[in-house]
Amino acid sequence: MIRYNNGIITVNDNCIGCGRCMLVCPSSECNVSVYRGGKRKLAVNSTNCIDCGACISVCSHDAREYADDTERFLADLASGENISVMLSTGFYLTFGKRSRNILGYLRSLGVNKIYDSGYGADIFVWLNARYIKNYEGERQQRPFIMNSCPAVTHYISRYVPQAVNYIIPVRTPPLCTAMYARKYLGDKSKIAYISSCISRKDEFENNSGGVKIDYSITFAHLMKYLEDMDLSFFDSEADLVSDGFGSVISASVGLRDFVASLFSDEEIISSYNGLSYSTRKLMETTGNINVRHPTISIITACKNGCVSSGGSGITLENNYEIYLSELQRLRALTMKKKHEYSSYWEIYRSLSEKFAELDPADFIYEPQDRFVQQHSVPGPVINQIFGTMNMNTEASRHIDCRACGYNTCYEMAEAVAKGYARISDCSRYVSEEYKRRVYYDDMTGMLSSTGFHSEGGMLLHTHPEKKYVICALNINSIKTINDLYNFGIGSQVINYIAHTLEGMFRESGICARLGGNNFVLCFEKTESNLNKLYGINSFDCSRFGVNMPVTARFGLCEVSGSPDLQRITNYASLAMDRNTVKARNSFMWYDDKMRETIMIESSITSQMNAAMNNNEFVMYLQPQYNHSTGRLVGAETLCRWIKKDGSIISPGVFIPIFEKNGFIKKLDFFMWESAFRQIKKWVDSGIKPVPISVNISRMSLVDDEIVNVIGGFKEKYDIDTSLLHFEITESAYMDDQRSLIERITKIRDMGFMIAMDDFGSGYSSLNTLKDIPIDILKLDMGFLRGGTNTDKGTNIIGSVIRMAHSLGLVTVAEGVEKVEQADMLQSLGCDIIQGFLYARPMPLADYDELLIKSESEVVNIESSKSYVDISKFYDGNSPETKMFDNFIGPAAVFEYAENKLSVIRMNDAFVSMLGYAGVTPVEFVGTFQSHVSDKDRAVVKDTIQRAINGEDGAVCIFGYNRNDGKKILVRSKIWYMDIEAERAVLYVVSDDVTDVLGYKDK
Amino acid sequence: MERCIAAFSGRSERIGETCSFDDVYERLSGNGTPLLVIFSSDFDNFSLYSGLFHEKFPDSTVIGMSSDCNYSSEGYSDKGLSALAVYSGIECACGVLHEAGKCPIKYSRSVKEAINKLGIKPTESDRICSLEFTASDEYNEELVLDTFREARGSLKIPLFGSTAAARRGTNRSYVSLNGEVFEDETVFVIIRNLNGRISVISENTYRSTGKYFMATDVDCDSKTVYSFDERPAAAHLASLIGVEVPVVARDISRFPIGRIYDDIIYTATGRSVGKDASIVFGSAVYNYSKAVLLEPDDPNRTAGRFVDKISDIGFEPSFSFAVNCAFDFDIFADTGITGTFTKQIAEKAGIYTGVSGRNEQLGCANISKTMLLAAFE
Repeated sequence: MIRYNNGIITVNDNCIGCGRCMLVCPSSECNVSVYRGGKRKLAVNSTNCIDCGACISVCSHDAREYADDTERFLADLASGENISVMLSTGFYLTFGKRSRNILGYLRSLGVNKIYDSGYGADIFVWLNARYIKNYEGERQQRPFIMNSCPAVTHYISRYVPQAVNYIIPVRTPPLCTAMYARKYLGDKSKIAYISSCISRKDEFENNSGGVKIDYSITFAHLMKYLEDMDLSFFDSEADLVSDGFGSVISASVGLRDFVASLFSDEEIISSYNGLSYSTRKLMETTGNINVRHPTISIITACKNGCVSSGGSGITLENNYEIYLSELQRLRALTMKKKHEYSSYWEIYRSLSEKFAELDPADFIYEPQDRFVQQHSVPGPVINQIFGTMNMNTEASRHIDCRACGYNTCYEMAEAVAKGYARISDCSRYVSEEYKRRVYYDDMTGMLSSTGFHSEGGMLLHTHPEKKYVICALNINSIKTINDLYNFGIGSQVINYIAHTLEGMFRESGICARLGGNNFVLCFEKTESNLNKLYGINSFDCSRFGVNMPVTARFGLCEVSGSPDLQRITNYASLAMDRNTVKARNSFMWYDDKMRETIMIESSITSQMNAAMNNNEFVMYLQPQYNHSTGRLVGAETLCRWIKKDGSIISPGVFIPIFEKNGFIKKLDFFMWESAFRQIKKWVDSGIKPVPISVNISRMSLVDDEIVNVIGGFKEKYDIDTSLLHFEITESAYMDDQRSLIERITKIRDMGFMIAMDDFGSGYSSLNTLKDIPIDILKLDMGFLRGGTNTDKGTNIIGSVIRMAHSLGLVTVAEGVEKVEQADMLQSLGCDIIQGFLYARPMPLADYDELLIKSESEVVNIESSKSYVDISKFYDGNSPETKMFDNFIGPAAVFEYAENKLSVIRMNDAFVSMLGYAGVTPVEFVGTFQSHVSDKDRAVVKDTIQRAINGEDGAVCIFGYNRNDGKKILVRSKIWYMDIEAERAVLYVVSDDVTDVLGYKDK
Repeated sequence: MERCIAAFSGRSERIGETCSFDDVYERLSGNGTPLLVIFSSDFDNFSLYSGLFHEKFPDSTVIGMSSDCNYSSEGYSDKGLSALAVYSGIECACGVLHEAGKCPIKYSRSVKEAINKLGIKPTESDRICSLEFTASDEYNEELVLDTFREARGSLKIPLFGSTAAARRGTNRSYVSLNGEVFEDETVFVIIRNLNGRISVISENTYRSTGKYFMATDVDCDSKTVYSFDERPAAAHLASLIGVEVPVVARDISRFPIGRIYDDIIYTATGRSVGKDASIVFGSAVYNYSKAVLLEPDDPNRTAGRFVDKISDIGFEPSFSFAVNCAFDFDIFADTGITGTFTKQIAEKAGIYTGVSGRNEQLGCANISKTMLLAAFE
């Protein structure tokens, strides 16, 4: 069912809902607010429309249309239908001299007769005057409203039923003309009425009292057909015209002048142009015994009379010249006629004589009752609507601004209740609602961010002497709650926490929800307030079925005076972001150090893109060596940020920031391509490179782009893939391991080796090692740095290296700074050493040089002897001791002075080899000489001396008679380590070579 | 002389037969001329009974309506005739509002004249009430209520009444006043109880489910609701009930809603569901007004509550008049408690008669599925 726009006047898509039409519409329930695509438009409720056309006249968007019979008229005429035409008296006022051309054209189309309805107007006015003059009833009961305007008559019959019987019962001028033509001129043809009036169509179809007028044609629609035609060749005039009086009734006061000319000056002939609010109110007084009616009231719906109706197609202002000149011509005729008579009575008598042959009964209008009682909306409903619109006071309900198009707020509320209007049509409501939505959070009813800054700013400004705390907080695990329970429960939790916070600080501060699970508080910094805040460990949400403790992270910032609240709130939020404790409510204050960090972050972030464009990111390489051979075996590429001014930003500063802001991915791609390019360059220039490794950050591994990028570089540079390794930090393996393995496998399948970086620094698990496809294990030397667990660290490193080897992995120890570490690692079987011991990260040029030399040179690391901290061998818990005890073969540390050998330490293997289990070092020294022949003692003594003299690992072989009687051959390698209190400290590594050499062979 | 007599005849008779009337007349005629006769009958013989009442009691005010179930303290039946004659202790004035479905306000003068005739004072609202019966196929009882409101001005005159029951399968229904039968009129009588107070009680037969919503697009004139909570009306109702839209469309009268004004629930029953999922209601549902989904209450409990309310009115009724929704009587009949219910009312409300029609009216509200009773001290 079409609810609206199903009458004569309709609304098209041009409507923007400005409501201008409503301001001129006499019916408050005619224009209906409808929303299409969220936009307000107006529609015509045709049931309540009186078709006055006022809305068409005022619509500046061409959004109003109306229906008439022009098209049907022209079609019927073309098909040979016999049609006569009646002209509104406004025809001449509108078209002036062109009138004759138009009439000529119509004649050419076959129009039969043409009647100027000015003639009917003469009859109409005469009959009205006759009715009044002959009325015999009570004066107060006498009808006085002229039935001249069909829209007014429609309005009265629809909305003012008490006035229906006060309409003078004479047909309208067109109907009088038609009646005259049909009955008295015998015209049997169809009749078309041409005017600017839209409402005539309704009159002819629904209220003509049996007088048939077949077509209602408006100037505007007719002229659309004629506008491009040259009508100057056509010429004709009406067959029936007024003597003069009726010709001007379409002009603003033409009808009143005519009527007045038939009455004495004592009679009041009132005229109202336009169905304004006051005119309508005046109409409602009709029938009231306390209100005296005028003799005749002429009311037209159009404010400038019939000539300016909605169907005229041209405004009076734009047609003023023609209008005035034609009016002058017609009034001259009228005045001439008037001057033929000496009094109103003579005019009346002459008309009576002229129309004496007419039967007045033919022209009687029978009032039609079109009244439909409107529902009145019950008071409670109106109150409910006002409540919805936040109009809760009497004053607010009587603003009556009329911006909505209704005369009063009450009228609008009634229209809302009936479905004609929407509450959003009220501009005051919309503006307050907008403010409310901006200032308040819909879900919790708390202040919104905007509201907080407004209210908070006010609070701080009002109390500059007080110290306040801005506290930002984020509820932890809301996503988990939403996932585990549902969003409804999540919302309940947020609401509960919101109200808990409000309950705590409503009196002493303000609370707001910034959105999601973020809140901000502003309260006076007092011990009591802080204790209140610190006092909550978690929020108990078990009432919603959430049994886990719900906690929040709080960031706090102290503030005083009238600072920029937005900035302070940001500081508090930053403190909150850095607060990562989630197990309970946790609190972190914003301080200067944090501020400095933030400033640095901000500075780095703002410079990074420009730095990339300016090539400020530079590749450095840190060489890797085989400690046993001293040969360069590889290098790790590292990024350095060297600014144009030469200053350097440490990777320790910028890498974490890039990891946070995502720029690390871009940097990764840059470094990879640099490495590809460099290898290609080395190869192309004839340098034989050793493999270099590049790092893959965690963020680069989150999607498959990495595979495409590396694949692209491989294709582009076409290098030997064995020359490039990719290092992935072990923490990356904590993420989606399945996808990660897929990506790593694809890279590996391209031929690149994969290294697990920083193994042992954080999250490694044996499972990880088992599952991830890697080729190289890079050990983090943090095991051995500081703390009290270095002994265990050594054990672990040994185990890890053995395990790595068993898995076929190459081991690289990075961060090696001391030769002792390198020696130890070597003794544990570590394959490659990287660290300051050999080389610091170096620019490419230096590395190039190193690479060229490395083929011929072996790096000699100074022997550890001069560096050994002997004291560590005295310490049973030192790593050296542990290493000594557990990871090497039979070994011992001796002191040698004045040809005397004394034992500092010997490991179990050494003791076991010599068959001295359970013997103390002192006991051992005391017995050593008895187990070795003099000759062999001299050999040992000589070897010791050689070692003291600088021979690196002086070797001797001697026979040894064990306690158990077994004779063995011992090969010892002796290093001179240091001088301690004038005694040489010797490190001896021995092994039993009896089976190798055979005792006899000695 | 007895103050009032209720009479009932449940005889099932062919059109034109007067056996039921004879039974009733015999019961009422030996007590003098009644001041007021309120009667109800089945649709078929209503005009006949109306004429006979006027013929037999030409000086009495006789008001009646066609009713689905005729019941009184004497019994109940969906056939026959039921009447209550009041012989003393009241004053009454009656009238007719023509064009009840379109513009009864044009005839508001008749209400004003009745008020003037009784000379009602603002201080006596507790012993005045207005009873109206409306026959109309327009479902526009709100216009009648508006007319009463406009006519009574600032006077407080409790109003209650019923829309006459229509012949099955049609919208035609009858009311009558003093022998004249109307099909698009409201007949009314304003009664002053000279012996004391008048108390009007009501009880809904459906209860709230606690599922609230709001009408967001309505055409008040056609009583059509296009959307609830910005969703097509029938679809929203169906989702609240937990059924499919076709179920709602088929049995719309089983799914009434409660309009909430001033925290009171006024039941409105749907008449039809449109293809656009709009719902045409029998009572006006206003835009942006709160509503709640209702569900049938236990008939035994509802009837019990209603009887309890009668017990609580604070005086011993000498006679009463009941209005009930025809739908309720169907439920009572299905549950088999009609007899008990009508008897329980008699025990508490004294002599009474009652009507059951399409809609009920109480104060400013046009409602349905509600039981009303006016008790006269």
